[in-house]
Amino acid sequence: MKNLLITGLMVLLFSCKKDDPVVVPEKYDNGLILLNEGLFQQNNASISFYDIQQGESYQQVFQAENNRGLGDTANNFEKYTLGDSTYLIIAVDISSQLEIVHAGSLKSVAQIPVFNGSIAREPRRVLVAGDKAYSCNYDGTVSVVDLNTYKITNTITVGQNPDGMLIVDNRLYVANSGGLNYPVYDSTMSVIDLNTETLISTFETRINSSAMLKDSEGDIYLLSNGNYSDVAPAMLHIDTETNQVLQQFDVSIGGWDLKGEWLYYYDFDLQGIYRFNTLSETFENMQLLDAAGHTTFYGLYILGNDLFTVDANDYVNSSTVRCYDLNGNHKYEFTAGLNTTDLILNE
Amino acid sequence: MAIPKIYLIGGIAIAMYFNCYSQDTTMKHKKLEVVPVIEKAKQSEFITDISSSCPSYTLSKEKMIDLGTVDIGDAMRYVPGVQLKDYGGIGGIKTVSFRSLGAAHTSVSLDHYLQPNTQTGSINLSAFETFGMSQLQFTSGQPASMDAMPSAYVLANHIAVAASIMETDSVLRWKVYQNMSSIHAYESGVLCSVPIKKKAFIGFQGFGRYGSGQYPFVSTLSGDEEEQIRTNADLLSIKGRAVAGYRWKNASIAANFSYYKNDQLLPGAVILFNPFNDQELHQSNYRADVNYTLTKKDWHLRTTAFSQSNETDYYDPTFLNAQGFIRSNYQQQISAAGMMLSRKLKYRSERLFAGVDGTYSQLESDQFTARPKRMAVNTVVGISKWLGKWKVEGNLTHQFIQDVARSSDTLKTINYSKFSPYISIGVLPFDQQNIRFRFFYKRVFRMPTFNDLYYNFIGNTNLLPEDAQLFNGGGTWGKSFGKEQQQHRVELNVDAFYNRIKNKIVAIPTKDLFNWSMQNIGKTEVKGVEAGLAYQLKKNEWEYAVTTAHIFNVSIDITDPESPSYGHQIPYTPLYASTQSLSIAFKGYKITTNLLYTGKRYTLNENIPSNQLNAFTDWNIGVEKTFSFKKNRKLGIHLRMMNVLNKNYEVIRSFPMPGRYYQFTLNVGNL
Repeated sequence: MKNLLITGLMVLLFSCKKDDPVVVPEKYDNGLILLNEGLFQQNNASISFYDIQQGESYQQVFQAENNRGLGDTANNFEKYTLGDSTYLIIAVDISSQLEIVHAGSLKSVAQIPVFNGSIAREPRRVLVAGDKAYSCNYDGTVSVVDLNTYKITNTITVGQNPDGMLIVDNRLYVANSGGLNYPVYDSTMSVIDLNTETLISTFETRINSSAMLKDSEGDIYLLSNGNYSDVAPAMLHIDTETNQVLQQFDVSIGGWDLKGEWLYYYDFDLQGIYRFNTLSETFENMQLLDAAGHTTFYGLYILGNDLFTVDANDYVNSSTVRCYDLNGNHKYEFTAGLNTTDLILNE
Repeated sequence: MAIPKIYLIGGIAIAMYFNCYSQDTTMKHKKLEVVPVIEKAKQSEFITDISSSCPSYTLSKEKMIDLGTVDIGDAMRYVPGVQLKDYGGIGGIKTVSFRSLGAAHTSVSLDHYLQPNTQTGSINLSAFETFGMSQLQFTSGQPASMDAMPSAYVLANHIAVAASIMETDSVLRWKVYQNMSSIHAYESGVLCSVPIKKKAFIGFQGFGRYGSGQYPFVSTLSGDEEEQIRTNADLLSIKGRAVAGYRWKNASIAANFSYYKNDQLLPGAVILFNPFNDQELHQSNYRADVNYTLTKKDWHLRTTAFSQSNETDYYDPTFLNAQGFIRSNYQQQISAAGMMLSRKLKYRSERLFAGVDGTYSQLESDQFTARPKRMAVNTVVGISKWLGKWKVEGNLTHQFIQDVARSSDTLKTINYSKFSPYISIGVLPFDQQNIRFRFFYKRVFRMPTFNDLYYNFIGNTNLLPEDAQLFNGGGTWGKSFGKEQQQHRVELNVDAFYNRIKNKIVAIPTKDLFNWSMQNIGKTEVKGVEAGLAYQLKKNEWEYAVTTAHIFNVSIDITDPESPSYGHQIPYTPLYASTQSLSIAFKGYKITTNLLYTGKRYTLNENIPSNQLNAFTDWNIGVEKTFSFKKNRKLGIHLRMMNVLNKNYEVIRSFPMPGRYYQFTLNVGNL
């Protein structure tokens, strides 16, 4: 009993001890900045930093630099330069904020609430062109932000639950997923003229579409996620001159990026990374990389001449980020935060 | 305190004062009790039952007042080894885990009527107010009362609640209750029990809980110390219960009807930088029960039947879909009938028993295209027997479940059938000392719920039951000493436990983030020690009591050696927790203070700083005064400062608890 009491006191003492403070790097240059989505209602969206030279990864760096949390569910971020400074703008979905930080220090410079009265608009993706940022919001709108004043200057109505954006020739393409409308998903693309900030066109694509890439010819590749039961995912090839779907490819893609004419993608069904040629519009048969060892494949990014994959480890454990060269040879790997959802190279 | 009486059983002297009260009920029924209920609470400050062969804890209504609890969820927090999942505030859902076995491993009965929920498998304990309750008993292993229905033997843990309304007297008994909290939460209650001649009685109980539930809190995540207000928490819930009973020489019959209506706004998780919530929850439940009890010589028979209807409606008026809102409705009907027969053996705490009950459940909901229906039959046979200094208890249960559910255009049938044993051994090795060593083993199969099997998209009809094995071994010691003017009582218990859980039913993503599914994948190993010490002193008109209980619980994830969380403490489970209480009573005045410490926990599987929830201490202190009048009438006034340390600790991440607040309670009546 005496021993037990002593053990009890020890546990009590140890549990009162403060945990070690978060270690942060001296600067955030020459490394990868990683946005971690966190989990819904856990308020644990975060930023990690990976120092490529030192091979060190740092967690919770936004919290450490700003002494507060980033918010709940951060989906996407974008790097931009305005004047002499470089910034990151982050879409924080459930907190319904656009957060702007200095890219070099990760110190917050602005936090822009995105609300319709008391209803959260829920920004999902963010893009920057010139001194304006555009966020597509899950309430069916696009917000226009003046990056000089950090004010929302316009709100444009699009389709249901937009979840992807791309700019082609000063036109903003917005993919309307209708993701909250099961079983009747949206299947349209909205096109906004960025000069007038008005909706100029809406055309049919395929149900539940989200991510987009633009190739060197100005064509769009769009992912349709299907309905998770009898309609399979697909990739669409869209001509932006005519705003028409040229072709549909029956492939289940879970992460992709472009490098020159090559579209690198992860095939859910084959559990591997493959390539697609955007000039010849053909798939390369050979597997570039076997990714079956990933527990939960959650993203593919090409930065410079490196290919990065994110393994979300069942969505409840810290993500593993693996770096490969473009031939699929493993270079290094490190641990990031919970559900890493975007990567930016800071040089 | 009375001088302990000594009973001789099998040649062993046992101090009965705190002992053996729990195993046998019929022999101790008061003449005036028309309907057999769990026998009256022991008049003790101590909640740990040292005479039981399995972990057993009893809270009397007086103890629940001393703890400042308003519902049985609050009360369960003071049971060592229990972790209350508490979302905070006036209408927050409360469920318990005990020694790392989750909420679906605990069944609840009210006056021996089981309170099932086939859809979720767990019972919201905040819907059971402590007003009108005469006793709460929590057991792990086997229920304590011989009137427990067979289904109560199937799960690992059981909460048996007894209502005051079922205790009758030769005179009309009544009580009026009012509770007010400075977190804008209020409760009103009235109950009466009316004897009709000598053989019958009727009773009525009405209860309301209401208020805006608003309270200030400080969120540390937002960086500033700015105070925010927890809003969208308005609640109005009303509950009515009517009972009637009739007693013959050896038999009795009783009926119960209850109605519950709850309308509340849901405050939701506190989301950083987004303070708006507007979801609503509406519930209405009906229930009717009847039971018949017959006692003849050594035989005791209890039969019972009930039928209940539960309707739940969830509404989100600003959901971002095309129609701009979402509404989900769930209608569950459950009916059951069963019997339990027992025969007393040589001594009063010895018996043979057997019983069976059948439960039919069905669920209609827009979230369940399967529209499942379930027939469950639970059977138990058991024995308790003294063999010299050894007391051996055992039972064998069998669960049979047949589900019929839609699958596309056809009906699909799923069957489950499982036997599981329970055995416990208690030994009193010394004639002169009340030292008891105890051991129990139980195998548990926790059947998948309607949610697990059939919830649209995530349900999985291939699930196996969750499989748990429980071991407990320890010792207890109790001693009373002193003279008439100065009486001491000391109790001590130390138990070690080991649980192993496999085929845990958890939701995991399958193909991608959108395709989650229930799977049998979790494995947990639980090792721990629980130790408690209690001391009571009665000196002249003063009464002092102090208790302390400590629990160490190492519950690690052993699912997948490749996983980053392999070997880590499972979520929401502290390595160490403790409760302490102190009370001083003098001539109707009483000062009580309770302190509950819960060590740091992790919200997710990985034990890393970003998943950590800080340790917390919840301390309350209260004063009570009871004025006594003629005809046994009493007026009790109770003022309590809750959460004295004023920290908005979180039991569940993003759900901060109220800081310091005050509670005022008034009880008037003759019971």
